[in-house]
Amino acid sequence: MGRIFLRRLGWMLLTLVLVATFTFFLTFLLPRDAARTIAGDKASEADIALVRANLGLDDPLIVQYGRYMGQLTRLDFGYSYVNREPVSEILKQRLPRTMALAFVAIVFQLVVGIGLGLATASRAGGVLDRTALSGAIVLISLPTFWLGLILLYVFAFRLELFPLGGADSASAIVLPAITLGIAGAAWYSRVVRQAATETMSTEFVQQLRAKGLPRRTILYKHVLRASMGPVLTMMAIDFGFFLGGAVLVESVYSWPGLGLSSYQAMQTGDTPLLMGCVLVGSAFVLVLNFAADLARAAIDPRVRLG
Amino acid sequence: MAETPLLEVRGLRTRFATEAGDVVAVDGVSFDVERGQRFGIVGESGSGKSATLWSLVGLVDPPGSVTADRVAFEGADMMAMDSEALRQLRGARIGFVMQDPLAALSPVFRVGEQIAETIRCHERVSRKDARARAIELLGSVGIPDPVSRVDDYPHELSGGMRQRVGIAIALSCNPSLVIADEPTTALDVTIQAQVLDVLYTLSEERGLAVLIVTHDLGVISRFADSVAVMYAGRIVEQGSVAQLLREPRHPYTEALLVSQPRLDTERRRELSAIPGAPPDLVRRISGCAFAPRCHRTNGRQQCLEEAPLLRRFGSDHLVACHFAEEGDGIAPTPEGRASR
Repeated sequence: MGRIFLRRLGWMLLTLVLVATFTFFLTFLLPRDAARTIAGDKASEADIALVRANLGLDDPLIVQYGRYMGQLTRLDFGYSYVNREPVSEILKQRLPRTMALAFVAIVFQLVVGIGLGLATASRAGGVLDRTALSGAIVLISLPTFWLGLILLYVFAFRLELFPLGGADSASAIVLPAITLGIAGAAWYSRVVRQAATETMSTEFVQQLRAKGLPRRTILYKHVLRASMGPVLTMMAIDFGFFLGGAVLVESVYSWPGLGLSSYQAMQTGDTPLLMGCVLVGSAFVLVLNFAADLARAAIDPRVRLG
Repeated sequence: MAETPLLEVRGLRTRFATEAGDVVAVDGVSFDVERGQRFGIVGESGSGKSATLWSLVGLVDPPGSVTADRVAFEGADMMAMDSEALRQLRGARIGFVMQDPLAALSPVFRVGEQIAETIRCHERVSRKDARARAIELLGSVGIPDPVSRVDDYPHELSGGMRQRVGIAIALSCNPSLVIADEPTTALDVTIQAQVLDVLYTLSEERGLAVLIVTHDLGVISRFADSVAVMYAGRIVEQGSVAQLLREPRHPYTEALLVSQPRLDTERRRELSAIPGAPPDLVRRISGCAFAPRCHRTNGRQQCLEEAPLLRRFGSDHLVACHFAEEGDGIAPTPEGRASR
């Protein structure tokens, strides 16, 4: 167990190094001069050259890369080019917002997805099942930003049920969380339905009926548990992505999380902030993937970690 | 007045609607199981023996449908029961042992929990007491060290041990009848005997009636008191095991006996098989379903035109053959002649 844990940890670190490398060279390809951004629009060419020299932007790319990776080993993400704060400070401020949004969205996704999946599986071929199928296809296909704008228009602007954006009241989280989670909910409901229908035609469910277990116990205890494996893995990946910041949703709702930060960093050419956001997001995806494997092993004793 | 039987089945009929037409899997089956009796149903695949069991406990799903003139258990009319009343019978008064214990047990719950949940869905028992009863049951089906085995998962047990757990689940609420659907088919031969012995002993000790379905006459001769031979959804011969194995009167039963491998005959003999295949249950023929494979019919018109009814021979020996009298009432040997 300990050895497996260490090995997985090693792989995760290696993946992070690769992610950092790729993003570093990709951001360098952005058609933007960081020194110009920092010095401001009115700065003279001499000032810009000075900034460039100070930040070491004149050094060969490989030297800059080495310097950045060296910083990372000390968990130093550098300073934002735009407001000169340490990137780690910005991340610390923004992360709780993103976590809250990710958490509510994932809960919404799970509850709606699993509930609908089991309901449709237990009455396969029924009216609900057929409606849910076409509904799910539509919801999965909807572009997030479009859905976000529509919800914002109807429920915040027209009906005035929720604030128009920001994170100033508790109810502000509802619309972004639904927007973020709805495609996942639709997707999960199909996966759960599939897994549950397969489970229900197996001999072990026949045995549960022969034992005289009530239908709801069979469904919510046994079929649910047997169908949870694929959902868990998907959930962990989704949760990781959400924690990395939902760029589109956070932008539409002006939700001050990591996604909005990355979006702004991309627009202003704030490379250190952008890199920081990407690395934090990747780390979450990796850690949660590992957590999902652990959880699968806990749910199904036949699964062995490898 | 004679005591009412534990299970009374009259005219049980199960059909499955398919695109090719209705498949009549069980076609008017009638039998009684007395209290404490071990009753066997034997037949080849597709003879309707398993469908009979599932029909009795209300677990045939659409497109299948079940009708019967009468099915009574402990005097109560099961055909009149709603699904909730049937559910309360299943697992409580009627235990069920399935064919493949690995497939039948949930892979993700400990075996103790799978026994305890059966108890707790029928009786108001605390978790602790249910667990204690699970341990006791594991002991009574011959699982060594039940106190630690109760927390094993099914995949941690051997096939024989798993089927013992299956039996423990069937017995968990002290039923008066256990229905066993090919309970030994998925097991190794040596384990088969052990599992049958467990079931036999428990049935003796507790006065438990067992309705067992198998394709294996060896299981019947070892285990059952009475037996019904099924062919194409009907009972073709029925009687006490001793009588039926020694003096079969239906040509199908004779053929089954001959095609059984035996340890006490010479080894080089080729096993005889029944020529032909079981009939298509969609296009039901008018005469005797076995006629196309029967060595006795000799092209006689009656076999092809008229379905034979069960007729009584002796006290409780029933045979559905127009020419049952032509069976010499002596078990055939592989060489085709009586051995005694």
